[in-house]
Amino acid sequence: MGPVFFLLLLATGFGTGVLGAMAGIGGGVVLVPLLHLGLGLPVRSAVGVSLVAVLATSSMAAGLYLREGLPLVRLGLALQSVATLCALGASAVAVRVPPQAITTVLAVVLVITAGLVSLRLWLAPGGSRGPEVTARRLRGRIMGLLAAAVAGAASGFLGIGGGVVQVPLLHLGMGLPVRVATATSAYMVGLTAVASSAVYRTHGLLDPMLAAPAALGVLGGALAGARLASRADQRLLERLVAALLIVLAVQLVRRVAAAGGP
Amino acid sequence: MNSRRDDQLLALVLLAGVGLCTALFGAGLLLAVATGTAPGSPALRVLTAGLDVLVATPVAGVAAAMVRFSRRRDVAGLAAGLAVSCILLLSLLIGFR
Repeated sequence: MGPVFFLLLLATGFGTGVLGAMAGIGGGVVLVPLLHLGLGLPVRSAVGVSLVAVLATSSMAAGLYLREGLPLVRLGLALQSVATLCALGASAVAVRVPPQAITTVLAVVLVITAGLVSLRLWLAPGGSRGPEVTARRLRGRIMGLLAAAVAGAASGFLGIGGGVVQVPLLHLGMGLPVRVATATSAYMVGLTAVASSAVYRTHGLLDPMLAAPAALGVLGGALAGARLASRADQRLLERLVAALLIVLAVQLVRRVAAAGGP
Repeated sequence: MNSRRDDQLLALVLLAGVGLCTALFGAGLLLAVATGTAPGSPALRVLTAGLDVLVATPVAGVAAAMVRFSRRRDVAGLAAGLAVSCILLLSLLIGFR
């Protein structure tokens, strides 16, 4: 592994970080397919690298949000047990199933994410209810636990943060304002990634030589993307990201088909 | 200690962890370019240390949150933090064997 490959990892991470921060989708959902398709990493190694990048960006984002007092730490921890258990279970499955199964699920998740990004359902009006009031309701609790479970499973199986699913569920299901839901999700995603990364590390799928440049790139890209976001045409950007996700999904399916199916 | 200061402390823990990890990753990569990446090399040890710091950062964040809950005598918050800590420690014990 030479300096050129380090630079490629750094650049891929940077591009992912910029895109993720500008489009508000995190980075893992783009990073895993790019590392697998573009740089030729085995899909499980790409998941391991992505988990480290997710750990770095979510810890940074949660720290910055906490300065503004946004994340609901108590609520996040209350939901986190479910997320962590789901992450452990999903990662234990992911290290045992054929890689094509991970690739196939990733392709499906990319299409779902593309739909969520282009529709932006969670930005619809109706999130103005007080979070503490709604959080006590049974439906809100169920939606919160569902959000935690989905994000945990996504983290463990695919190495993505799961925020793109978690945020709308916390917002629409529990009535948290979008920024509070985003901040609480960022706080939770890091903890989930700790559990997932432990399983990948046990199986030798977490290589610091690969993870470090990608994580540094994503961190730098996320900071740059956050600054650029206000200048970009958000609607156009979301459409471009959705198109990119669909293209990546198609490429993943073709890769699976070429390997003889899932 | 009020809520705002608690949040600032928690933010400091997380951002300091990410900062330290970034420094170790940067130093490790420079060492890797300069001295190579053989198993057991200084570069690999520095990068692994960065990874350990990064993994420990959210866990330290939970510990800081638990201190906050215990000061407020928030039993439910403390129980949630304890449950998460136990699961995380279990996973880390498995992962770092």
